[in-house]
Amino acid sequence: MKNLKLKSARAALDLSQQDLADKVGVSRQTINAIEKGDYNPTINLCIAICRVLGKTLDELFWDEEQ
Amino acid sequence: MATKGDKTMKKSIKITLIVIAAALIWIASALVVIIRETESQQTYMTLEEGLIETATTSRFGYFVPVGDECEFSIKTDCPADITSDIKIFIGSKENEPVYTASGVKTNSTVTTGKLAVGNQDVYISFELEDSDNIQVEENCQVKYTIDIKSQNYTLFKNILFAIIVIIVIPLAIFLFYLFNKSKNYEKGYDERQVKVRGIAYMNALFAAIVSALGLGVLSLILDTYPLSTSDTTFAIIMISFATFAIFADKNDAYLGLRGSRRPLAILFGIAGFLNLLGPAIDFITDIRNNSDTVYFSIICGICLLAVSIEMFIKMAREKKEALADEES
Repeated sequence: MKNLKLKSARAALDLSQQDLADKVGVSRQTINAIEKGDYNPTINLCIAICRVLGKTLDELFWDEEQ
Repeated sequence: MATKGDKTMKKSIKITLIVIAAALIWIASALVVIIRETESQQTYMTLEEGLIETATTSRFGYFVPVGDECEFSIKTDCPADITSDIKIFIGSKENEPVYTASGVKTNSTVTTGKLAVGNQDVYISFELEDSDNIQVEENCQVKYTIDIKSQNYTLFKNILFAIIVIIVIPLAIFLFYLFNKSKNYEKGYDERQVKVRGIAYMNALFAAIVSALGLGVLSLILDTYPLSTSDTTFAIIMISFATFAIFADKNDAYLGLRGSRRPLAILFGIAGFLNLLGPAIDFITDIRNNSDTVYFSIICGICLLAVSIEMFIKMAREKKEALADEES
C-alpha cells in the first residue's frame, strides 16, 4: 500500500527522494520503496524519517483504515 | 566498560591467532608431505585389443600427483607363447618412450628404475607378440599387475605456499578489521539493502548447488566433458557470483550507499568481452590452441556480460526514476 503521507510530507519540505535519503542515511531506492509500499521499514528508520520531516510516527506511518 | 572498537580488536586478534595456528598446523602437515613417499599402489589391467594406452594418472585416480620420480614394477600374466613389449611415455603418447622392455614373458616382472616424470601424465603401452614375432591383434586374456612407487620433492612448493598462507591470511584479516572499523562501511548498506543481499546470497548458494549438480550430470552424460575439475569449480563460482550480483543489483543492493554503478558496469563489460574474445578468436582463426579453457572462458564471459548488461539497464531505469521523482 502506497505511503502518500510520506510523499506529501517530503514534498511539503521540497525534498527529493535523494535529499531525504541522504539525510536519513539510506538509499534513494529505499525511500522510493517505502513510498510505493514495497518495503516495510524498521522502527528505527521510521523514527529517523519522522525526525527529518518533523512529523510523528502516527502522522506518517499510522493508517486509520487498516 | 569495553567499547565496540575494543571488542572488535579482541575478536580480530582471536581470529588472527586461530589462523596462525591453522597455518602452523598446515606447515607441519606440509613437512609431513615432504618426507612422505607414496607407498606402492597396485592395479590390474586386462588387455583386450592387443594395444592399450592408459593415462595412469587418470586411471589411478588415487595416485595424484604421480610425483617427481616414479618407479614401475610391471608383472605380466599371459599365455606362455605370447610376449609383451612395454613402453612408458611421459607427458604425451607422442613423445619418445622413456622406458622400453621387449619380449617380456609371462609371470616375469620388469622394473623401470626411477623415472623423472615431474608430475606429468604417464602413459604405458603394451604390444603383444606371439612366438613368430607377429603382433597379436585378437583378444586374449592378459593381465598386467603394476606397482608404482613415487616420490615428491615438493619442499619448495610447500614452503612457498605456507609462506603465502602465513602472510596473506593475517593481512586479509587485518584489512577486514580495518574495513569493519571504518564508519563508511557501517553506513555502506541500509537496512533494506542488507536484507536484499541476504536473499541474494541465498539465491547465489542455490545457483551454485544447481549448477554443480547440472555440470555433474553433464560430465556423466557427455563422452568428452570439456571442463577440468578446477574449471568446473570456477565456473560454479562465476555462475553463483553472477546470480548474486544480478539479483542484488536488480533490487538496488549490490552497491552501497556511496557506490558508483557505471565504472563497475564498464569493468564487468570489458572483462566479459575479453573472456568471450579468446574463444571467438579460436573459433574464427584457430590460432590459439588452448581449447581446454574455451568453455570456461565462455561461461565467465557470459556471466560477466550478463552482470554488466543488467547494470546498464538498471542505470537507465534509475535515471528515469530519479527524474520522475524530481519532476513530481
